[in-house]
Amino acid sequence: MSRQFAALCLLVICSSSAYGSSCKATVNSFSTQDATILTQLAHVAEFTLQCTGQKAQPTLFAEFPCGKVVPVAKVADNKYQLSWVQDIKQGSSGNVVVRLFDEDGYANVRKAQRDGDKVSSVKSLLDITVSTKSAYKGPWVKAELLAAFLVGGVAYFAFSTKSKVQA
Amino acid sequence: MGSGKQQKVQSSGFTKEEELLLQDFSRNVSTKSSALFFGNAFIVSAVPIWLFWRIHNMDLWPSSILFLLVTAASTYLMATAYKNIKFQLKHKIAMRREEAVTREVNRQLGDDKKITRKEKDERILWKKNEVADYEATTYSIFYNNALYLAIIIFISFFLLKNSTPFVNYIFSVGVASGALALFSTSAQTN
Repeated sequence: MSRQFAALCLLVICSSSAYGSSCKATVNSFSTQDATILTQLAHVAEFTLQCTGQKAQPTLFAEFPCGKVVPVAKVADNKYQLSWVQDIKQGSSGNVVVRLFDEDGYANVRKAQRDGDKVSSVKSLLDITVSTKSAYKGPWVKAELLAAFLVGGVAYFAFSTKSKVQA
Repeated sequence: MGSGKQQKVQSSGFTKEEELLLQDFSRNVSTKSSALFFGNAFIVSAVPIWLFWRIHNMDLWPSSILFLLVTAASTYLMATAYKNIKFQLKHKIAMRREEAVTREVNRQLGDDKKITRKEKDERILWKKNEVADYEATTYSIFYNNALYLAIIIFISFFLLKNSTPFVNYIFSVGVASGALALFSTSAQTN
């Protein structure tokens, strides 16, 4: 448990960015660590949003680099959570830039999608950078293969020595 | 024990030298060698139980009868293989070590005038037989164990990897010990 917590702490990347002048986010992220018995990797980003000059907490939508737009879950006051999964083969470490939109921004995104315009041209409320880490996918060389090579080498030595003795 | 052996020698009509020479070519193994072979064969035959219990996830207690039967059969086959390989190697090793053993015994005896030429030859023969027996025994165990484990790993992890552990265990252990016992009976043609 403490190891997981330590790993979580290590993974925590606090990134603050402000788009325009009103909002600022502090992001914590976590990725699946061990993928030896899994089929997909999960990434979770939790961020605290601080907006100046805005009374209500906005409903947020996130756009991933692949273009997919999803709603962001609100888990507490000013605290939001975003999660996604990806195939193990495609999983890699690095930073993922996620664009956040409020309801007005999301309406503009939908409009751009309907009109066939580029979604990237729509101004986002805030861009956050989520740090993802690749998971452990098992050893490079399988233990049975290593054992087979080792014992095969010993068997070859035994066999060749026998032939030498009998020659 | 010595006098019993002497009587046997006398009753069989062979001289001590002839008896030593016969021992060199004999397929029979002493009780000590036999115990060593069966002990080793049992240990190496029992090793796959751990492999199939912990790695291939076979249940230990429900499969204990199977483990017992296969281990017993494998022990017998491996002991036979040890014995046959030892027989194949012993004479060859004795020939290879003859010169060194003669030199060693001559050096040890030195200028001992009390020992006759015949006695010296007998001692060389006895020493050569002992050295060859020891080397052939240890080498036979090493050779068979190495091949046995290699065959088991190859069959259980690669050839029968999609089979049930039950079938995998019977075939990998059975084929490994059976093949070694079978091939140990082959005569070398030069």
